[in-house]
Amino acid sequence: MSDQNFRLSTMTPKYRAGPKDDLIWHELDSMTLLFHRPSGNTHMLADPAPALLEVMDSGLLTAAEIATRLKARFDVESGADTDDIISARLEELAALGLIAREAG
Amino acid sequence: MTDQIPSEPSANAASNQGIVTRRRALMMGAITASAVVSIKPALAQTAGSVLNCEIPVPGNNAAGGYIAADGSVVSADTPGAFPPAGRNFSGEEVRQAMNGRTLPGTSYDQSEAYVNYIRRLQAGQSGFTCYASLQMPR
Amino acid sequence: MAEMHQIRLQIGPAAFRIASAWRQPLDQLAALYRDYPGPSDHMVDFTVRLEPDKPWRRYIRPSVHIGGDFWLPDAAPLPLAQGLLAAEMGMNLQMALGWRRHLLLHASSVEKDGRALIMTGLSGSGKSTLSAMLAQKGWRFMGDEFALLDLDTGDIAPFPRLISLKNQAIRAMQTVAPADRFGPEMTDTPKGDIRHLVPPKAAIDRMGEPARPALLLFPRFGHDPELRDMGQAEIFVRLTQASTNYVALGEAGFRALTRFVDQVPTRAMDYQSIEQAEELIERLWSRSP
Repeated sequence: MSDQNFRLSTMTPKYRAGPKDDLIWHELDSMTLLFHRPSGNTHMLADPAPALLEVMDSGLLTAAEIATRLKARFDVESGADTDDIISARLEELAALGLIAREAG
Repeated sequence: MTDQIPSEPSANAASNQGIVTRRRALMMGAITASAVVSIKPALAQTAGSVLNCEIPVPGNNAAGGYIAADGSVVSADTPGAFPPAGRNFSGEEVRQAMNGRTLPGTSYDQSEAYVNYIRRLQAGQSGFTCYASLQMPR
Repeated sequence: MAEMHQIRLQIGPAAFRIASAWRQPLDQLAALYRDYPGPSDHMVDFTVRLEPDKPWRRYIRPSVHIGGDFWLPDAAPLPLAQGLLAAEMGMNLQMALGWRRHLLLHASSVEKDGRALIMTGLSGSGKSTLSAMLAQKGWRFMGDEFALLDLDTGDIAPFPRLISLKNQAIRAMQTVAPADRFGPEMTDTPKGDIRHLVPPKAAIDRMGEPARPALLLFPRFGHDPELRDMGQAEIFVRLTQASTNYVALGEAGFRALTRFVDQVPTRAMDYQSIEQAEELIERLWSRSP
C-alpha cells in the first residue's frame, strides 16, 4: 500500500455500537423513543437513526460499510447524497454518546 | 431464545414459498436535518413552578458594588454606574424586564444595567438558579 | 437554638413534619387538616422548615424562609401572614425534589367509577380549579398539584392536599363549596390572591385508594371550546416537562411514562368557562372504556 493510501485509510472514521442491552426502544406514532441505560438519557429518534443503530454491532465499521448494510436491510430512499447523510447522522449519534467513533 | 416469537410470520412463510419479501422503506431526511432530539427537562424549570425565587442585584459576593451599563460590577466612584438595587427582584419581575418592561422602581437605563448584570450570572452566584428557571417555558 | 414548633401530617402516601419558628402557620394547618389522619408512626418522609429569613425577621416584619430536607437557592421569603402558603409550598418542594416512589406529574386528578381523569398544563391552564369544581360534582378529588403515577401498576395514587385557589377561582368555588372549608384569604402573594379549600371529607377518607388512569387532558383556558387529538411524541415530551422526577427515576421512569402514553387516551381541551369544560369532560368520559 502506498504511503498516501495508508494515511487516507487511517483518517477514515470508524464507528462501533455498544451492547444491544444498553438500549431500550419504544415506538411512538411518529418517532422512536430510546432510553440509553449507561447515561440515563432519553432520546427521540427519527429515520434513519434507529435503522443505523439496528444494523451496527460491536465491530468497528466505516460509514461506507454501514451504508452497505443499511441498503441490504432496508429499501433506502434514493438520492445523490445518501452516503453523506449517513456520515452526518453517524457523527450526530457519536456526539450524543450513543455510538463510539474511533480513528480508523 | 427458543420461545421467541418471530415478528413477521407471514414474511417467513412467503420467503419459504420463494416470494421475495419487501424490505421496509427508509426515509433518509435532509443532510442538515438532525434525527435525534434529547429529552432535557431542567431541574430549574419544574422546581421553579413550585417555589417563587428572587434575584439580588448585586448578589452577596459583590455586596455594595455598583452596576455598570454592561452589567459588570464596578466600584462606587465609577462614572455612569448605578447603585445596588434597594430590593431583590422576583423571578416574575425579571422575566417581564427581559420582555421589555423596566424593573420596578428603576429608570430605563438602570433597568437595562441590572438586566445585563443578571444575564451575566454564573452558577454559584446568588440569583443564578432563579435566572436559569426563567429560561424554560413555564 | 430558638424554639421550633411542629406538626405532622399524612397526605396520601407521604408523611410530613412541618417545623416552624412561629405557631401561627401551624395552628392554621392544624385547623385545615383536622379531617386528615395523623401519620401512623413516628417516621416522616420529609421535614419542612419555616424559619426567619434573617435572625431579626423572627419578630420585626416577620419573614418566612421556606426550607427543609430539600431546598432551593434563591427562594423568595414570604411575610408571616402567608405562612400557611409557605408551608404548602414547602411540602410541594419536598415532593418535587425528593419523592421517588412514584413518577410525579404536575397535574390535577379526580376519580369516578374507579377510573382517573388527569389534567396537566402550565400555571393558568385551570387544572386546579377544574379539579376543585369536579370534586363538588360527584367526582372524587385526588389532588390538584401532583399526580402520582405508580411505577409498577400504572395506577394513580391520591395526594389530596389542600386545594390552592387563585384570584377568580376563589369566587367561583365560594358559590359551590361550604364556607367552613375555606382557609384564610391571603392577598398580594407572588401568585395574586390565594385561598385554600379543604377537599371533601370523602376524598380525604379514601386517600389510600388508587385509580387506573383513563383520560389525560391538556386544558387551556380562554379559547373557544374545542377538543383536539395530540400526537404521542408531543404528549411524551410535554409530560417529561411536567414531571419533576422523570430524569431522576431513570429506566423505571421511562417504562412508566411510555406505558402511560400508550394506554391513556389524551386530548387537548380549550374552554372559555368551567361549564364548557365540564360538558366536554362528561362527553369524553361517557365514551371512554
